[in-house]
Amino acid sequence: MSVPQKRWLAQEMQKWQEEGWFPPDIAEKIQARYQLTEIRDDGTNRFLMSVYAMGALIVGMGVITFVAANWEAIPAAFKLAMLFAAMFTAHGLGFYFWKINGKAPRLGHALLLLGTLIFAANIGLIAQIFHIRGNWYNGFGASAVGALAAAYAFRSIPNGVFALICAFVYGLGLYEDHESIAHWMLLGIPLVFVPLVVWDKSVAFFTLVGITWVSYVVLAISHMNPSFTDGMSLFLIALQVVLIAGLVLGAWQKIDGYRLAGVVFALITLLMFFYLFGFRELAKDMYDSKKALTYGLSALALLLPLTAWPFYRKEAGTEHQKAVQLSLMGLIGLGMAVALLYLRAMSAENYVLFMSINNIASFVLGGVMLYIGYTGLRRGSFWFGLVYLFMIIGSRFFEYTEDLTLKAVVFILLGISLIIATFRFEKHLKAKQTKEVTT
Amino acid sequence: MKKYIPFLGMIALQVLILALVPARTLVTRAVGEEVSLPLAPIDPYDMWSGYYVILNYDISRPDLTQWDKLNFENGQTVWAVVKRDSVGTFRLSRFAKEKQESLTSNERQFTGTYRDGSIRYGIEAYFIPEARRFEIEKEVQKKREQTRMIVAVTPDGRAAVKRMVIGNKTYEF
Repeated sequence: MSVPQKRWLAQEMQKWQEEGWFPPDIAEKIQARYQLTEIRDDGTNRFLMSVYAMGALIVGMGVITFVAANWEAIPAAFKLAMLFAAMFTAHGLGFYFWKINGKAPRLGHALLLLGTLIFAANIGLIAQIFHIRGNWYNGFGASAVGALAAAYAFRSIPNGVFALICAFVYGLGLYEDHESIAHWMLLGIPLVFVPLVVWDKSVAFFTLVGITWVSYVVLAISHMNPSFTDGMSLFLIALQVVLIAGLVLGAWQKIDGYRLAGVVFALITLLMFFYLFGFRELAKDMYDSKKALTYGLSALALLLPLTAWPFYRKEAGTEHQKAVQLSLMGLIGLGMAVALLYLRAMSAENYVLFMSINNIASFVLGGVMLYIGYTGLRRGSFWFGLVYLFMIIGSRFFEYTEDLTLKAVVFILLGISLIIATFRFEKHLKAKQTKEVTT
Repeated sequence: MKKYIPFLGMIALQVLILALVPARTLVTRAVGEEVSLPLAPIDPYDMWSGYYVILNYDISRPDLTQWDKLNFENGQTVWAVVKRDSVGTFRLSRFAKEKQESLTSNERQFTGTYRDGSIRYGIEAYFIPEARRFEIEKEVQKKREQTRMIVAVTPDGRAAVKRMVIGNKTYEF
């Protein structure tokens, strides 16, 4: 129980006792069970810890500023000794507090991260001492290796995050000089970081690795210089890889978070794709380049695991999941029908069907999110669905209507609808919550 | 003892990486032969790395020489042969796409990487103390023709900066 929760309970307990809801001995038992008498001590300790930490930080900043001011006057050997001493001290104290003494694991972990950050800074400072100015990205590559060692040595996600950022920046730099080597990072990033995800069972780190990897895929695609449509298809396939990884990890480690992260990640991106190819010109480009089929099949491949996901869940079959499932299955059927039609009419220069499918898919998915949000009392889903639907309606009007007055009317109507929807949703949410509390 | 192994392993790897940063430069300085190269400083200030002189040599810009038709590609390894002149300074003799197996007693070679019109040999930076920045900058501007970098170069072309000479003053940091 968090301190604010304890504080609330203590205040309420006092009122309940005054109203005579339960005898004093029960109150004492509750106080003892939830350690309500220690709240004040907790707060004081935290305050003191914050003051100590702030004091230490200020002293540290003073020392760093003093050293920086006199840095050039210090002999090289002494500079090196200071750099290594700082790194060893941070690492050593971190290891002591976390693994030997064990009394302050969080402080120990933070110090180990500090040690890695000092290590990374030392790379640049040592290069400076010896007048070395190499490629800017090499330092990031070396930092990634050192941070990764710390991440695996202590199963440390903060060190892993630092390593991931450095690895991404290193890959970014590699594209300047060694494109063929840089492409290998597409394989390197998952190979190096996924074992840490599996080991630590961290959904947040999985999400971060997924985002970083997909960003790197975008980078690689841009260097391959493909057509817009080819690039989009490859991007979609990359998302599908993350989604499948999430589903597999979720099923294997029995952690719903992985699946959810993968599904939400893919769903949002899919909505973005449907939105983009709902535009006449983009859909036409896609169709003209004969890549609509690749795109369509990639989208289907992404939808399949999305649809299959609820079947893996024990609680599959709730109202909302059924709605999602049915909608997605409908979309898959529709997509397959279109793919078949497309195969038959490959030579026909008709992009309208393809464009319409994207618009229908947009409306269905947006509607489903709105439905889930409304019935399941989920604000995020409701708002995302609502804004997405309004975006499509607004975009279509902008695309097909040149009449300014009509555009103005549509905007006004959308605005009014948004206000009414907000009011209705919040009222509905409040009513449901009140009903749940009373029952 | 077992719980110390990951910690010691990590420390060892980080120390090894830090030791590798200056390793090549230290070896080159130790075994390389000292040569004097003329230079022209361009931009003495860098936001990220503190104060240092960006060093440009006559061997850095093939496009400004008669060797511009060699058509180097980005990332390509390039060889620059320098020849000692009458005052002992080494000046550009020729560029080559391959290592030169036979050099005269007055010739040395540097290996670098071509990128966007210039070649980098790893001797393009010399860090100077902030307090002496203006003094050195002024000296260089006044005696640009007499400014030399003393660099160590190995027979296979690797190079490392050792010190800076402006006129009859030597700066070593």
